[in-house]
Amino acid sequence: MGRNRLVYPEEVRLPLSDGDYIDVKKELNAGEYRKLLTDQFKDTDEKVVLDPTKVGITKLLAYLLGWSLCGRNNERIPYHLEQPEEIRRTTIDSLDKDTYRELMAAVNAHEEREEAALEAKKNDRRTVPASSAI
Amino acid sequence: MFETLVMDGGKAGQMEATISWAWHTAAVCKGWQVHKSEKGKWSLTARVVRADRFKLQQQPLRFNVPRQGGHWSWPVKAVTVQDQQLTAALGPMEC
Repeated sequence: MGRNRLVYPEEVRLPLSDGDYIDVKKELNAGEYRKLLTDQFKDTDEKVVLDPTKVGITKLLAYLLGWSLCGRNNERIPYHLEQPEEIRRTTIDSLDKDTYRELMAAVNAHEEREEAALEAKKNDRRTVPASSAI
Repeated sequence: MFETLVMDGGKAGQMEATISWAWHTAAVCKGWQVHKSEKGKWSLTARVVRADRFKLQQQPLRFNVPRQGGHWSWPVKAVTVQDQQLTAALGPMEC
C-alpha cells in the first residue's frame, strides 16, 4: 500500500515566554511551501534575487495561525487568517524585537522538529524488512 | 429556539460567506441562504464565486458567515456544486 502524500491541515500550539503561545501549521503543503519560497525573492530589472528583508517574516506568515499576544491594557492583538496578508505582515512588524525573535525561534525549532520526524519516517520505510515468501 | 429559520446574505445577496477546510478556503459564496426546516434540518444554497474542488471534497468542512466580532458557523455534512450553484446539508449552527 502507498503512503499518504497529502498534507491534512493540523494545528500545533507552541509555548512562548510569560505564558503566551502561538498556533502554527504542523506542516506546509506544496502550495504553501512554494509560496514561502517565491515570496522571499524580489524582481529586479536584471534578475530575481533573495530579499533579506522578507526571509523571516515570510516564514512567520506561512506558518502562523494565531496567538495569545497582548498589547497595552492586556488587549489581545488581533491576528487571524481572515485578515489580508498585508495587515498580518504589519501586525508582526509592529511587535517588539524580542517577541519577533522569539516567534522566529519557535517556528524554526518547530520546522526542524517536523522535518526530523519526516526524515525518521522515511528511514523507517527504508528499513522495513521485506516480508518473507510464503 | 425557532420552528423554522431563514438567513441570507442581505439585499442582492452581496455578503460573502465561505466554506473552509481548517484554515483553507474551499469555496467563497454569494447569494447564500441558510434554511432550518420544521424538523430541525439545516441546509444551504448559494452561488459559488470561486471554489477549490479538491478542498470541497475534504472533511471536516465548515460554512462560515461573518458577523460583528466573529462568525456564525455550521458544520457541512454534504456538499454539491453544479453550474456555480452550491447546495449543502448542514449540522446545527455553532456561534
